[in-house]
Amino acid sequence: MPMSDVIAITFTGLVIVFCGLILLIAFVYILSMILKKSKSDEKPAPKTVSAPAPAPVSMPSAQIEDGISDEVIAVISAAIAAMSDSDNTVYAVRSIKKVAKVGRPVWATAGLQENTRAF
Amino acid sequence: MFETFIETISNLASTSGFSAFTWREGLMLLIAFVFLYLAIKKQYEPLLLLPISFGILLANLPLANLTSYSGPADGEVGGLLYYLYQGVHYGIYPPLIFLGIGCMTDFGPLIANPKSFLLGAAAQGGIFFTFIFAALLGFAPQECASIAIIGGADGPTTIYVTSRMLSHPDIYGQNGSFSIDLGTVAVAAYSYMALVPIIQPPIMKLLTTKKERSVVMEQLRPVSKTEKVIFPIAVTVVVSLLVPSAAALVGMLMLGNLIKESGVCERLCKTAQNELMNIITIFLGISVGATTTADKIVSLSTLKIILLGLLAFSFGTACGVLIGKVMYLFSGGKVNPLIGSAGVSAVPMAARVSQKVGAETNPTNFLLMHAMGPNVAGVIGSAVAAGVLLSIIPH
Repeated sequence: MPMSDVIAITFTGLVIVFCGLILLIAFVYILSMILKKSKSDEKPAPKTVSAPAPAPVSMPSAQIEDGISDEVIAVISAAIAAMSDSDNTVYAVRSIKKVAKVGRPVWATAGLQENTRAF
Repeated sequence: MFETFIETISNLASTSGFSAFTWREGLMLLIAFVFLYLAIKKQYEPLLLLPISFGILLANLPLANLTSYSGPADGEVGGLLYYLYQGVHYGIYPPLIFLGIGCMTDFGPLIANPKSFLLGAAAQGGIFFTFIFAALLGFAPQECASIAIIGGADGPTTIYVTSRMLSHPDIYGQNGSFSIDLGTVAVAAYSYMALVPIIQPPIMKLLTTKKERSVVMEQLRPVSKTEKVIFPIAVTVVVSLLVPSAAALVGMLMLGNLIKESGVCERLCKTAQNELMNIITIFLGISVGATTTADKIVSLSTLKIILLGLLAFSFGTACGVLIGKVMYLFSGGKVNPLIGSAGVSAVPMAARVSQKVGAETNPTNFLLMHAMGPNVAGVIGSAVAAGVLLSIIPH
């Protein structure tokens, strides 16, 4: 292969790669600008007349059964927090208690449900 | 009866593998054992090196008819690995691997700092400069492209380009004058990817000053879900229009990413990044390994591939760091040039190397997320470079 062809391939290759990725840079900038603008164009919600802040509702502390460790409580709370984050609903933990082990374990049931759920 | 017994035994002996065993097969088996050792004991890219080395082992067992080129002949069906190899030959496996990679990749750092694309593009310099050196060493254009793509530091891309460029003469009737094979190129690519933490740091330190290495970069902005969903669609359209040969790789990568970012196909996402990718990895590894034969491995070309592969990785790293230095200058010292080396792909190893070298200079500096931008840009960049090579060089 003549050296002139080799140099030409190298040069062309680099130019095309740079052009392609520079195009993508431009696209990402334009996209973020459009999204920023559309966000700022959204009319700010009309200010409501400042009402006195509602008094904080005193929440009864959750009833935790004896023998459940802090780590388990933290894991259960985190799982519920993750769930409430995905469906925008606020959940409160009222009580945590152990259930008697009957039949299939709860994790196995969850796995079974997931695998047999229809599309 | 005794005569029949002796005759049967001698027939069995003459048709056994031992009768056809030569020093070449012995050497190939030894190479397979060494790679198996490296995969199992040293854990060098074990997910691929193990099936590749076992593929080498199977392909070089005499009379077993298990090379990737053992196609159907004389009314007999082909060997098992011949049929598995069709996924490599027709370019099916690498894009499917890209689908899984897309499901595991977060393009957020790249969207937050799109300038990272420049570093991803610069690191592809390793591919194109190695192309020149391969041509100087007398390789054919298709061989030059196959060796140069090692610099993309991307296994599936390397296999995709090389399998396209080198079609075996025995079964596909093409020119048959190639002195290298797919297996050697793939093993070289994966070996160097495993060696990224050893190859890159000296080059990074050589090309940067202590002041540059200690730059602490600003925190990246949060990226919205809308941006993350639009990004894969846009990249597919832009890249495929510009370089149609890259559409299969980039398209599948971005499909995987869209499946992930859309958040509505959780089951598909789990399958693509786990079961599907694992199955394809096994098929890909074993059939690529089974392309190696003694006459191609035991040659001067193998040494040249090893040398050029190292050169490709080094050039890619150097180009990324040098463009990083340019960005350092133009940004008034806000960009740490070390993130440029991550542009060679090898996700996430190269980004970890940037983080490690940066932390050596300033232990409180966290470059990992900044380096992930060029790192994933490098994946797109190497796919584009692969498309360019496939478009320019006849195959």
